[in-house]
Amino acid sequence: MAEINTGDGGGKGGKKRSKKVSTKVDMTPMVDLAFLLITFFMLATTLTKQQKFDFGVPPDIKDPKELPELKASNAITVILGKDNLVYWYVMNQDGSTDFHETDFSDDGIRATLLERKKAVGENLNVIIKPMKDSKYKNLIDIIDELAILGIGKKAMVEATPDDVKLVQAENASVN
Amino acid sequence: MSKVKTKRHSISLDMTAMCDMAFLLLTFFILTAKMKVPEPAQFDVPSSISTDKYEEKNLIRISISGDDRIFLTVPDQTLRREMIDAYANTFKVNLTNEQKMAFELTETFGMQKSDLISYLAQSAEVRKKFPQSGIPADSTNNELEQWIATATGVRPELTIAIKGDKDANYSKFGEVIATLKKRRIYAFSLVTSLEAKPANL
Repeated sequence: MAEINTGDGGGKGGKKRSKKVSTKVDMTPMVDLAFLLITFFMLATTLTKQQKFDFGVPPDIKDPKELPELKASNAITVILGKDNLVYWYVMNQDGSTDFHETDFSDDGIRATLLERKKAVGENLNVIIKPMKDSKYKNLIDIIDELAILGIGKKAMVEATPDDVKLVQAENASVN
Repeated sequence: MSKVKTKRHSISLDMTAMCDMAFLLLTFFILTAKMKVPEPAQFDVPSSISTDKYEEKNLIRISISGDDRIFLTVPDQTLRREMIDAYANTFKVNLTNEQKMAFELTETFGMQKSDLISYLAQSAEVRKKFPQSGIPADSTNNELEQWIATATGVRPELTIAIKGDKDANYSKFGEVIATLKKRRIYAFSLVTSLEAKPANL
């Protein structure tokens, strides 16, 4: 097409034409490779994104008078123990408590919280008390349970020695 | 009668355009991809249903590994520089410019002050394998508080994220929370991986 035609129009004994080599290259493997790399980079960039949720802790209150008042029957105390066990109790009108042991399965703490939410309604307060030997995962799990169930009122306090005693008593009665 | 010969078409396509496009996209993804910096410890974060995106803008991260070591991650390089300058000033640590440069290149660290000084004096290869015992955050020696004070002093609008391993003990997390409370920081974010919301509710 664009070659310069020299010579005298194909006359005998004209100059030898250099053989034209096709410049077409088979691009299929190159495209294959390119798409493979694209896939890799796409997945590697989007799949490593992590999520977060915001969490707050109340400031330490020295004066007990400043503590917000809380109706005992509206509150449920959840204690996180070791080996992924959860203990919970609700304070009754007469000040007595029923102590229960459960776990993180669907029929465990979620069923309990759902039941309490139905019984108490929007005013349900969940007090989370992680014990020293519980795992960080347990805390995330319980906060996540609350998010799943739409319970917004929660507080995190460290387990008191009384709570530890209750848990030990519960473990002793089971064994 | 002779058979009618069907004309054979060549099935080879011109791939040039496709190849161009593929490489254009490839270049885009390579350039936008953020290189994963090797961390001194692995963190297997617990999952939650939260879909809030975690972004490392204007943030420092406190990480707790599965064996209860505390690490501090400062993703912003200029902030790292400002932090080490302020830290050296406040706590009267003599650091050469090379050591400060080394800190600038350290995104995540988890060691006490005396270890950090010898760590920063090492070459880059040695630094990679340097044993990191975690930043102390207990009540007797709370160096984590010093670092957080330095960071928030340099940049008051800083937010704090906590990234804990599944197997980290609550007691270590409690130490971190107590430290943050001391610095009057009551709000922070927890880093999680995504989990599907249960449908049967």
